[in-house]
Amino acid sequence: MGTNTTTTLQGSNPLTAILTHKAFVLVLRVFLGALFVYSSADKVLDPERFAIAARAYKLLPVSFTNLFALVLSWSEMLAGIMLLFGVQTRKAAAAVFLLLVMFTIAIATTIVRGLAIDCGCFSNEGGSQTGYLLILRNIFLITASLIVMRFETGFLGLSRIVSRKTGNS
Amino acid sequence: MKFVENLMGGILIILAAGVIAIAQNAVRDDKIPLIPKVPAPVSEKPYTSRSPSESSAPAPVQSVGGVVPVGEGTPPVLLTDEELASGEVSRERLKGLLEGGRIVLIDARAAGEYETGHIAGAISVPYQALAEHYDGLIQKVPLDAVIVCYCRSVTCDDSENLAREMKFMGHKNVVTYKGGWDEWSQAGYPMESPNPGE
Repeated sequence: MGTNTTTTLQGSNPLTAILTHKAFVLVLRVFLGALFVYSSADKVLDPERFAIAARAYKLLPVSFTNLFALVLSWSEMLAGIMLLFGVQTRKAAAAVFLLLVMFTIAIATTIVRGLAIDCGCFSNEGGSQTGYLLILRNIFLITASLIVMRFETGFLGLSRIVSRKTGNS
Repeated sequence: MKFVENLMGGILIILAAGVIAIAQNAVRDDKIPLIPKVPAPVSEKPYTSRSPSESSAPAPVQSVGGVVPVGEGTPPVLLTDEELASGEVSRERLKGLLEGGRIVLIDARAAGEYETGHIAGAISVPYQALAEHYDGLIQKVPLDAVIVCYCRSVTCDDSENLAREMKFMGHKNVVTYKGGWDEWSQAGYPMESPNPGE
């Protein structure tokens, strides 16, 4: 009876079952990791141009923008690599979550202030203007990072593989 | 509590990334200053251009920062769709724009070249020293201003690079004048020079 009850409860919400399935979480983790590595590569190589994008937001004093661009580009890169390879995945997902929340607030302020600027989100070449669509996209990414943070099990992650090998030897 | 713990871990990752970023920047050939130099007066001239007919008169001080909003006091100047699509204007068109209203004409050459001689009404924003001018450009040039960038001649690319940066900053009406200083000066069109006799 107990087994049947559990099966029934899990089966009663297939969406939750899918969202929390280790394969789905793995897909989200790799997707977020690859996205952040891709979007940060250009910024890491040319931080000065990323600093221009940061200045265009007019949220920080110009004196801070270079340091901000350097730290942010490497934060994206580091968190992306950690997600991609499954190292300290939940903490990396938390870093991605924090970065995305910050980006979203910054984009929202440009809408409120009527600034039409390039978001500087992916690479330095630009292309996406700040707007409601970007906020929607970020909400999706924030949700993905929260799912990874909450339900990640280490499935096919480097941390788990290394700990298993260490445990076996 | 696990959520807060993970968030703290996330903050640690960002801090670690900051250390890596500063260390990596310190050893790279094209390192950027952690605190960019921001000169208080970004340009001796206000970030606006004057028509050639006004070029002998002192620069007007119209508003805070010296920026004249496009269309203020003169008819608004608009670029055509073709010009915006191609991203450039011809010599004659630039002459017409300067005579027809207020635009922001930017000389992207080195400051020394600008001082030797430049198109009448142009301001100097050397592309190679762009970092020193960001603050002024962002704060003083209205996003809807018509901006024309030029450099030495068709063979230089500083004007195109500068135009791209301006677009990146959110300026919409940015074009280049490819012929540049060489073509303009050879045509004998309005110029400014500290020593006109030379």
